[in-house]
Amino acid sequence: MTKILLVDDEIDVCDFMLRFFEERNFEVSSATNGNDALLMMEENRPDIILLDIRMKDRDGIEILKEMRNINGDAKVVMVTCVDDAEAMKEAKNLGAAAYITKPLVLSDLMEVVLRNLGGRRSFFNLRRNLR
Amino acid sequence: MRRTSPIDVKRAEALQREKMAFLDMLASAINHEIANPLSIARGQCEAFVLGWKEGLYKDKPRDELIAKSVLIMERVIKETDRIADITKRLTDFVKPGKATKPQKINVADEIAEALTFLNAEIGLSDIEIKKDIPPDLPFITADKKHIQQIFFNVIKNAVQALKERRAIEIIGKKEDSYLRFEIKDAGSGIREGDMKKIFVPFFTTKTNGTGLGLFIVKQLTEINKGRIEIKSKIGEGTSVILYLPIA
Repeated sequence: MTKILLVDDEIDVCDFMLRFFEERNFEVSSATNGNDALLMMEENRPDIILLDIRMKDRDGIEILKEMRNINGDAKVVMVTCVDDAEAMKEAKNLGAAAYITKPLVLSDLMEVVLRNLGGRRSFFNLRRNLR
Repeated sequence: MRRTSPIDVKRAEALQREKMAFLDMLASAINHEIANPLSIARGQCEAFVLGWKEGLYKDKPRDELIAKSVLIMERVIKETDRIADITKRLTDFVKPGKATKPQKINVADEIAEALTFLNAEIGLSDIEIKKDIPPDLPFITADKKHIQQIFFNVIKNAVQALKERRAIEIIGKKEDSYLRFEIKDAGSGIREGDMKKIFVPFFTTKTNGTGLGLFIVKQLTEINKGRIEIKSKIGEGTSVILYLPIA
């Protein structure tokens, strides 16, 4: 099962994304702060991480830097509220795989996730393969 | 016909930059504050629609589907109410400075509001904000928007002054018939020679500063019958102290 880690300080955002990915047979974990995110990354070794760039306790870019120290190959997709070119450039230099902006469009999010998991499968093909 | 002097042009440019900076803040605040509730409301609906189209719910009992739909609709209502509240607060914050009736205000609430807008504009996540404000401080009578603007400007200055030690203290207490608020930063401090000029409009030491922030703070504080003091030491930081009369 593909493992995904959701990191967002807004618990309701984590909740609906968790249910969305669980329904599609992902093994999902979530964290609402930077420290928990790093712990879960070490424990669960997710295949892909969705990381909010603006968290109350720590900056998403700082968390990304620490994630790189734990696992340099981890696929991290940054989730941002604004089209922040500077932050995205920094994230890209730190090896972030992609970024997506809020408000989230789940079908777009799934396409980004699948693309970065290394498949050229579309969202609709995945549904058939996962069940 | 009066010619526009170079000083007039510079001042007009400074005012324009102040306006643009404010609009920038507003756009960022709207984006940041509204994106999450929008994501939740939209996401809930989209997840259900996609699930339905994928056939994930084809074996679910009708009652279960209805219950799920009702939960989703309740969540959408909650998040759209949240968006309505945010847009109202933002609108109240930016309405042109028409004189309003002074009202009883809990200053701690207005400081929290200013921090919310600042977080949206410049992100405060790597800054330690230490608040020492007793919960039972008396109210003041003042213009609510003025008080928000005062703390917004002062805290923003403090944030922009920070260097290695990224911490700001906000200390509130009652002192005689006033509330005393001290906003302390561990920034670079203000040179002694500049201390006499910091409230002069258009005086600034920042490359892109407008020189109006502290001037506005002083004006608004005095309009609300308060006073402002500044203490600073180069290399150690600055304290802005506001005295606001108790209601």
